[in-house]
Order: sequence, then C-alpha cells, then structure tokens
Amino acid sequence: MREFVVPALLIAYLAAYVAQVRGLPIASTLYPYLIGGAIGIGLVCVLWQQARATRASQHSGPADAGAADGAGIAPDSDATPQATDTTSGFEGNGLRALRLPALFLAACALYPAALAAFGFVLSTTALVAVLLRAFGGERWLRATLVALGVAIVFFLFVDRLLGVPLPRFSYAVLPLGL
Amino acid sequence: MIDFDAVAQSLALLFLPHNLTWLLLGFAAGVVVGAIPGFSEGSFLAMVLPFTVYLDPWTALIFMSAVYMAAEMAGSYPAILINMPGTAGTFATTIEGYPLTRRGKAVGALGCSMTASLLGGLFGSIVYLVAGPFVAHYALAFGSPAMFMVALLGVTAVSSLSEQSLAKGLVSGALGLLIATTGIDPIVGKPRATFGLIGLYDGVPLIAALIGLFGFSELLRLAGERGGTPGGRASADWTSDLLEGCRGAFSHRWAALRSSVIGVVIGIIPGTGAATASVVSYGQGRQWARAPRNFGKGSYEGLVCSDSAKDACVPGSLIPTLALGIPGSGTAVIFLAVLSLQGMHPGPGFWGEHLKEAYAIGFTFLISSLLILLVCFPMVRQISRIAYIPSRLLIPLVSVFMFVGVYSYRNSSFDMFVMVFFGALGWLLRRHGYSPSALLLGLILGPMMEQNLSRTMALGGPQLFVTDRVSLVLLGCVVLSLVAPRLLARRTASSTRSGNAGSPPEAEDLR
Repeated sequence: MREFVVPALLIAYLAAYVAQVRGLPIASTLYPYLIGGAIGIGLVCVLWQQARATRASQHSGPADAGAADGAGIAPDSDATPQATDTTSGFEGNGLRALRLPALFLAACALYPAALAAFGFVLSTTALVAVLLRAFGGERWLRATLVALGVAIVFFLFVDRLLGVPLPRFSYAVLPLGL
Repeated sequence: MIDFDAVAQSLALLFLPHNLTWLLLGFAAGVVVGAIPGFSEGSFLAMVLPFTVYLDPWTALIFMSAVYMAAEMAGSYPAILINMPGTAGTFATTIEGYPLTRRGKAVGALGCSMTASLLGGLFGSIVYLVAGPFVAHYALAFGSPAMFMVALLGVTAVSSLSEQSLAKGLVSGALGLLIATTGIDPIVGKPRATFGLIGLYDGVPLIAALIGLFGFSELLRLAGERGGTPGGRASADWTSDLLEGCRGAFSHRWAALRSSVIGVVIGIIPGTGAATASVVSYGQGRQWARAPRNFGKGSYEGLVCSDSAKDACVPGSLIPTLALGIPGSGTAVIFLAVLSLQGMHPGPGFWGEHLKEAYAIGFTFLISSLLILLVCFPMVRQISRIAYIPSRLLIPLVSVFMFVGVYSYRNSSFDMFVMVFFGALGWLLRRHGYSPSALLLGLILGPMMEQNLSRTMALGGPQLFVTDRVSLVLLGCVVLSLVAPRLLARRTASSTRSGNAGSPPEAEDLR
C-alpha cells in the first residue's frame, strides 16, 4: 500500500487543480492540462513499474525482493550508506520513529501563526525551548533561558543590524478588552 | 579587441584606496549574505540600493559586483554542510555536496566547491573582459522558441537526476512545472490554482519552496534520527581532505571548462540566471560523465559542474545588462536600477562610452574570484565545523535561521507556511523514491517555459520550434538528453553482465 501514497496524493491534487481552473479560457488552461496529462502518464508508468517489481520479487523469492524494491528509488533519495540505514530505522521502529518528526512538523507549522500574534522574541523562545527539550532532553528552565538568548541574538542581528523588521508583540492578543 | 589603455585606466580606477576598500567590504558582505540560506544577494543589494546613491556610481557598482560574486560562491557552504541552498543557484550543489558531508568529507567538498567556483569565476570574468561587447549581440539570436527549448532541456535533465526511475523523475519534474503555474494567469489576469490563498497570487514563493524542499525536509529527516550530526564522523586529517577536494576539481578540469561555458552562455541569455545555469550544466555533466551512476551520491564531478557554472554565470549575466539594457539574471535587475538611479543608460553604446568602468567591473569579478583563494581557503576548516554540530542543537538553531531567512525575503509569514509545506512534501517524496530536486527544477523553469510557449504560439505556432535554427539544435539536445543516458545505461549493464562487475567502481570514480 505504501507505494500508492504519492500517486494517490498527486491524483487528488490534479483533481483539485482541475476543479480550480474550470471556467478559465482554454488559452490559460492548455499548458497546465498538458503538464497534468504528462503527470498522469508518468504515474501510470510508475504504478506499472511497481507492479512489475512486486511480481518479480514474488517469483524470485525473498533474496531478490530488496533488489526489486530498490529499482524505483532515485539516486537523490539520499542513497548514502547512512541515509539507507536511517530509512531502515524508520521501517523498523514504525510509528514511534515518526513521533519526533511529527512533533517538529507540528511545532514549525504553529510557529508562523504564533509569530504574527506574539511577536518574534516570544514565539522563537517557545519554539527553540520546545525543540531543545524534545531533541536534547534539556530541562525546561535551561531550555527556556538558552532559547531566550537565541531569540534575542537573532532579533538584534536581523532586525537591528540588517534592518529587516521582524514582527513585534501585539497587545491585541491579550484579553484586556482594549 | 581589448583596449589596453582602457584596461590600465580601469585598474587604476579599481585600485584607488576607497574603491579597493569597498571591493573588500562587498566581498565580506557577500560571503555572509550567501552563507545565510534564503537571504539572497538580490534582497541584500535591494536593501542597500538607497545607500548607493551616496557613493560614486562606479564605487557602488564595484561594491555590488563584489557582493554578487562572493554571495554566489558562498551560497554553496550551507548547501554542502546542512543541505540548505544558500542561493537559488546552489540547489544542484546540495545534490552532490551534502552526500559528501554525510560521508565525513565536508572539508573535501568545500575545497572542491571553492576550486570549481574559482575556475568558473575566472573563466566568466575573462569572457566578460575579452568578449563582452561582441558576445552580447548573439544573445538576441535566442528567440522565444529557443528559450522554451532551453527550459525544456533543463527539465529533461530530470531524467539524468533520476537514473533508476525515469518515470518518477519525470513525474516530479512535471509536478514542479504544474505547481509553477500557480498564481495570476498571465493571459486572462485571473487567479489560477491558488485555492483561495491570496499569498499565492504572485505564484509559489521560490525561496520558501527551495529552503523547504531541501533544508526543512533535511531537518525532518534528522529529527527522526536521534543524536548524531549531519556530517557523520569528521575526518582527522583535514588538510589531505582539502587537497583531495581540490584535486577532485582539477581532475575534472574539462567538466569545469564545459560547465563554465554553459554558465557564461546561460548568463548572457536574458532572463535566466545562476539557478538555470547550474541545473543545465549539472544535467549535461551527468550525461558526459564516465560514471554517471555516481551522480547524486556525492560526486566531485557533479559538484564541479554545478559550482563552475553558477559562478561563471555571474559575469555573463552582466554582459546583456550593460550592452543591451536587458538583465541577464534577477540580481542584474538591481544593477540596472543602480545605473538608472545614477542617470546612466545601459545599451549598445554603453561599452563604447564607459569602457574603462565596464572593465573595472570585470576586474572586480576577477579579483573577487581570486579572493576565494586568499580568504576562503584558509577558513575552510572553521566553515566545515557547522556540519559537526550535534543535531539536538542544530535542529532548533537552523530552524530559526531558516524561518528568519524566509521571512526576511518578503516580510511574509505566509512564506513560512509555504516552507513548512514544501519541507513535508520533500520529505514524503524522498521517502518514496521521488525526486525533490526535479520538482524544484520544474518550479524554477516553469514560468519561463509557459511564457515562451505562449509567445511562440502567438508568433507563428509550433512549427517555429523546428524552423528556428537555434531551437532546432536545442531540440536535438533535448532528444539526445533523454535517449543517451538510457543507451549508456544499457551498454554499462551489458558490459557488467559480461564480467566487468564486482570491482568497486565508486571509489575511484567519485573523485
């Protein structure tokens, strides 16, 4: 089932795309439709290759199964020895190994929203403290102090030295009825 | 040919103490700017643009040229060390540089990259100085059909990037092309595939997508790997690593020369830039390589192809900017703005009227390339230490670094969401054997391809692709780039089956 994840997502994107551009004149949709068609043909080829690899691995037994699976892996899928080990580590630990990436992703997805409301220093302190705690096992107090230092250094460098205005704390987020 | 009086006068102008000081300041600023992912030289130059009016026009241009050259070169550092392209032109560098770092060869990769940058920068500067005024006129031969073919040639490099699954490579590249159509439609002026998000009206922000696909997805991978460093175990003997990297670059001198030529030519073509140059050169490099299967796994040859091209592109991009008034790259637009602010008008007569000053810019590029030797090589060990920072510290620090870089580009929180989205997408694609590099390639070349396709259709229809001579030659290259790797792979496979297998090909070929 794993090999259907990306094709399924791509088909969903293509369907959403078509729904979005419906109503536009052909002059502006011809090019995207051509590209979409190319993606469709490519996906059929990918699925056919995967079906063939699965059939080959079933016929030739477990020894060759790995080779058959590897047939579809592009070189820039980090085919270095360490990266391969990592991938197998993911497979072995299953969902548990995905816990930290999921936490990291969730924290980073919340950060831009927090930035607009709480400003750069507070949001960055919270993000860095959570990540230091999650990845380094630091105690909360230490993690928070280090995070505050990091946030202030970044703020001074980017906002003051480079002149890029970073978001400030907005009092509107406080329930003061102002 | 070269006017030696003008050369002498330009050197005298360049070596005036205040000009030399601004050149060195520009080089230092460029190295810092290039090493910060997302904070492009274009945005830095745009930021300092208002201050340049207080400088003498030529001092301002010397400063800006030094920033441009140094930033393009230093953009490779984060690409190699933490898989995060420092500038748009360095994404092909990540493909080869980061795997080398993962093998504990960060110093070697940096040495190879610096040598390649040096060679590319010198070549580009010499072409600028010797042939600039003449070459610029040939750029006009590239009409819309040829420009479409240039983009298509870049996309067919996708097949090179995905050696074992052409279909997955093409799907990834086409997905990039499709995502690149997001934004206000150029023909009817209505939003297309923006899904109601106003932030996408200007298209997908490229810098955010680039940092997401490479940098953020790498952090996600590191997050799943508790402990460790991106650089694996550091080699104790860094000087021999550095020498190995430099030797790696020199042993591929023909690849460096070919890539430099590609870089200069693409730089001269208006509207392109270092990103296109490095991608096309990398794709071509793989097709000409003796061991193409090593590309993507940390090959010095691949690194040379990418870095020589992007640095040779820098002087090349200023040739049409000054000679025709058409910017050769996004950053060159800022140069046009400076010239306009100073009341000068680039065009066919520019080289004749301001030959001394135009040469001074060329010599700035030349000196900036040589400064790599004097400034960057001695610092290579210190720079490489970034790769050996433990993940538990690197992840929080680099996350903030990336968010700040992405935010500072357009002062937009929306871009940060885009970065996170593309980070997750890149991570997912990589886990399933698809190619994030190909996707990014499509994103970069997509707008150019669509624009030139529409223009060609309006000018005379699809037959222009075969009646235009330049386009026809490029079409041949496209077909060749799709067919040749398959034939070579078959030939290699048959020779392996006939008894050549077993010996480890990578060890020598990776050099």
